[in-house]
Amino acid sequence: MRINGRAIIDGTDVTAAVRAIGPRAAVVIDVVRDSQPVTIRFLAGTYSRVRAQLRDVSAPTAKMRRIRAGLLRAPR
Amino acid sequence: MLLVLLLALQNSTPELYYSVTVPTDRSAYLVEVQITNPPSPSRLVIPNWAPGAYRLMDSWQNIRAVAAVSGAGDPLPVHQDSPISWVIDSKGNARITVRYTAGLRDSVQWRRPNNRWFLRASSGVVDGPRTFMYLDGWKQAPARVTFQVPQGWRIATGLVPTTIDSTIFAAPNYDVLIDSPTLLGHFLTYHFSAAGTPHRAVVDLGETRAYAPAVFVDMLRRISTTAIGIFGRAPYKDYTYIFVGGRGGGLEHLNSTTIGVTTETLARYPRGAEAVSAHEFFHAWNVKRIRPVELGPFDYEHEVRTVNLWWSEGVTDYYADVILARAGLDSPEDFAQGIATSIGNYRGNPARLRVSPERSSWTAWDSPAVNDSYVISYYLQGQLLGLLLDLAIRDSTDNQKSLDDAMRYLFAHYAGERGFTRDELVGAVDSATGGHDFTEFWRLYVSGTNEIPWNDYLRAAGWEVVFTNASTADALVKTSWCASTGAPSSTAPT
Repeated sequence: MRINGRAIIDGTDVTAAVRAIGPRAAVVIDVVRDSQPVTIRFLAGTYSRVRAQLRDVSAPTAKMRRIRAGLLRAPR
Repeated sequence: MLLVLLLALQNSTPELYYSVTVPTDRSAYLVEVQITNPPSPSRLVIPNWAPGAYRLMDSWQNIRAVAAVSGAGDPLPVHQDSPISWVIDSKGNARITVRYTAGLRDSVQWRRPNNRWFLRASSGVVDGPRTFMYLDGWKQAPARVTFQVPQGWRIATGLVPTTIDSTIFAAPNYDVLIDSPTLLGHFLTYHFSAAGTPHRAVVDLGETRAYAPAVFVDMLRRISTTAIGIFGRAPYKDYTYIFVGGRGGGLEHLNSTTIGVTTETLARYPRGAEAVSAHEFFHAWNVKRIRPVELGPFDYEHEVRTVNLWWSEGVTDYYADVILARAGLDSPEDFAQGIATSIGNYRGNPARLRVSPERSSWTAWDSPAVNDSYVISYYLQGQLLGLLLDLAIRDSTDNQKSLDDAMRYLFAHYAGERGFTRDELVGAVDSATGGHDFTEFWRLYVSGTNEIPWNDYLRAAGWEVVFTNASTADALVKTSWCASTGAPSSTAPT
């Protein structure tokens, strides 16, 4: 399988290939279906993606620090 | 008199002895089932689905050449009474033998290594649900299986060997037999101890060499030790990680897992399978022992629905994140970033306000059409609900209790003969956390589709979430496409 000529070995290659494609760019995907090579051509669209970021609160309490540490600390 | 009756009953109990042979041409597994004291008639069934993979898989398409003979070798009548079952007239014989082949018809696909079921020149994986038929009415009968493999091939399975270096293995019943995938062939073996319990990783990379095995094994040891630490003990005598050099994904089993990972991935990053390894390993508790009441003993002929897959799969995903961070494989920043990514994916999916976690669990078997084509993963929903519950429990108990306590409570109360119902799950979380009432939480966010007030929960750990919108290209976009061997272009969502 290839995306815009880039060989796809695993999911990380797909991610990298898609990231390199800008909105409305031409995309060519080469795959094999039923032992036959198939080329799919299309134009990339766009959609509005929601991104979330976790930020630290401005004045964390001791309890907040205990809870955050507790999440990631193995049980004693 | 009682003893005589018991002996008579014991003598009439069917005994099943399976044999799986790898033929020279590798075209399919040759399967033989020898049944002593067969019922008359004897109905043999190939499962329609496999626990852990909640979809019908049309196994019957892979079964061919079903035939039966008596102990003396005389042919017995066989007729197929459904796509997945065959009825044999045992004609009063004390022993019958049923033979069939099990393998994909697509020979290219059949030889391609993957984490479920294949057979190629140097190795193969025997997937129980697609290989072993059960004797209807006698799934609880003990079974033995012999693997007849080419010279030099080895065998790795979670089943109990009957002797050292045996090719014969025992299972207390059919459920255990098919919950023990078996790797056959040439493969690498790494033994290690985690919390004093023997573990091993068997790795089938084909002709490829091993990459940084010390890093790889250290990853598995840390995952195993950390997960066992949550519960205090391992629920098995030994555990086998089965890695095959194929496509991604994994499937949980009673004391083993099969994980597909490309050799290229292992070459680039020996810890490339850490997330799936942690997820599948945590399943050794959550779903293989702590289970919804519907998931066992299994009805293999029909789909089995539960509203609690979000817990069994999604909370397992949350614990995979937790385990990797606690094991030092991911940093606290990695953990927070992973959570943020999941919250963003959830918030960006309009289905979150249409399909509740219980609904997405219940409809796992169905077309998206049953939910008006709104689709949201119960993995994602459960992962985030696990975080929210953990934070809520810690907040209400000043960090004295956590979701770990709920897990331990469930393991103590619902890991035996009977699993938990929806209400018992709520009650278990309540009980483990000193009586805090989670009924309203379930109503709003588990049975319901209310918008989650993220910061109300995240602040307990000193976080707040900030959302932004970004225009981006993605595979899930409206495009016009055409295939060079197909029809002219048309506009269609892909």
